[in-house]
Amino acid sequence: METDSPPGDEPGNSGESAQSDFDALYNSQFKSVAVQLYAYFGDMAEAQDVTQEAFCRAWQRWSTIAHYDDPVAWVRRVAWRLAVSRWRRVRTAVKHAASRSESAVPLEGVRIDLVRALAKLAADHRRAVVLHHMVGLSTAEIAADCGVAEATVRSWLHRGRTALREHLADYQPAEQAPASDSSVPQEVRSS
Amino acid sequence: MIDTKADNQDPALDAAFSQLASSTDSHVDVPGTRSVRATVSRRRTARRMAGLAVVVLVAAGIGAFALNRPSSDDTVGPDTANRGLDNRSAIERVDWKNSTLDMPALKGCPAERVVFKGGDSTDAENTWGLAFGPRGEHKPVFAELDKGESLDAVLWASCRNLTLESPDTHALIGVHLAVGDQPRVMGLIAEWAGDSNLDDVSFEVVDSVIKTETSYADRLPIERSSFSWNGSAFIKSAPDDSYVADDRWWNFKLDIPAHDGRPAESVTFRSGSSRVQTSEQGMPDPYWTVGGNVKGGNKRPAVDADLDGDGEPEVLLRLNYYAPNPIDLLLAVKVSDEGDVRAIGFIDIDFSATAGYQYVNKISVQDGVIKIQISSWDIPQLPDHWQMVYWDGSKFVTKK
Repeated sequence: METDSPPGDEPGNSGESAQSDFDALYNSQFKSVAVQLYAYFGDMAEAQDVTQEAFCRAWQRWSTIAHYDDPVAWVRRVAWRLAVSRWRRVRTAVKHAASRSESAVPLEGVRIDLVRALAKLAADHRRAVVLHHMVGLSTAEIAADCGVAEATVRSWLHRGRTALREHLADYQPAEQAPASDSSVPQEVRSS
Repeated sequence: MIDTKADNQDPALDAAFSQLASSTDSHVDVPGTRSVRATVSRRRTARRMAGLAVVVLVAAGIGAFALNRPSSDDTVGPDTANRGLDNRSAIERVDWKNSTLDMPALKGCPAERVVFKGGDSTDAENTWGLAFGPRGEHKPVFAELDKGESLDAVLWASCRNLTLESPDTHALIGVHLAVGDQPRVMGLIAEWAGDSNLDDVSFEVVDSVIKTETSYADRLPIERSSFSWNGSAFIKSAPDDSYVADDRWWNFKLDIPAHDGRPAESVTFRSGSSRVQTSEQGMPDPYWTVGGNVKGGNKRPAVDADLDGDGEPEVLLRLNYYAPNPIDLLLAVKVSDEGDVRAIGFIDIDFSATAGYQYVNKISVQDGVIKIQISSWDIPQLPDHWQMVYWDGSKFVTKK
């Protein structure tokens, strides 16, 4: 059963327990992390790949990470690091963002206008906005994650939100995904 | 600095993101944990095969060497070398793997004289290694580190305290290599201790400056650092993207006086910060950084002028105090001929005159008056505020 024991752990009860804990974390958090990264990438396949890779790395180090107070925070940090690295590998982020903003394939019922508007933000601004409004991290937590001063995160958030509202206003209802988004506050759609 | 939680609240956006999350959830394909374990298993097998291949190649190499041994040893031992042969190729053949080195203290291991055999040494308490970094074996990089006459080398070193259950500490050390003499350790350049998320470290030497790039599995960005020899030790330089324009303010000690409810404290700035690393999960205790909150990340030199009218120059440092309510401060300090830094007094920056997130845009000194330009970060159309400060003989006060 070597493949079912985390590296560094001996098979047996502790290995089975570790596997059970990891499975529980994976099953409860995979979608959540993937959705956050989808908001960042605008590409579900990339988001899923990166999320799966982050969980692979977590399993490789599970004997350590399992003891953390919040293992999913580690997974999220790794996933975001991978996401940003992939993003940077694209020749120019601006060109990539522009192309993605037009070509992102709508997922049925999904706020594609929001995804496209996010894609137009600077990478740092987009990251801050998603982590704050989607993941619910405080500015201090984002600052710690990104390795920057909290004031910098506040600036990213402010600029990101301002730009996001402007970009959202550019999209007409006809451009949005088929499903109704009538539940979205008017302030977001038209401000 | 104005910092209200309300500035970061936006219920409408929260609702939009919530809807995005719930509507996207059903589109996520979950590969499953079996796939995770299969991937990790494949990688472990691949690593083992790679390790086996290295063993086979090494064994084959040893066999070939035994069958066709050269007539003379290819390394230059301390006792056998020709002292007149002070050229690069001879230096590069100095047998540093079988030398006695005064190793610097690394985390978990004290400084001690270590006799290496084949790059390894183990005694009752410590095991030392040369040439192995976090990603395996590395050759030394030969370069001029002290701008002396002889070539030096940057070597990987590692140690593990056998009495502590701690992982290896990895380090880069600078070594003097001279044909005919024992290699001599110049000093510790940098170390990486006990971080299971350490992913990779690469380095190069450019114009006697050792430039490192460190990546971690769980954090961004890649850490880029530079180190150079100052005549007695390797010192870390302020990186290009730091706010500190003068390396002097990157690593130094300062007794910060009590001020505005904060107690006096003795602070050591390392890499521009007094922050002591806390656990991966926790937030750090309050700490100080040098540089100030600067829009655009531009380097800002410390202001150098006679601030207190004693005819000698003082330096005006920008400091950030990171606590639940972070604050930007200015501190006048005097630097002695010996390089000791002594605080003269704080200057309270008046952030009340304009709105939004504010920052110190410029500082200048004219006729003993310090002029501080305060701008609004996020409301650029607001007029800047100018604060005038002077020394009243015992403290800095703001002109009304």
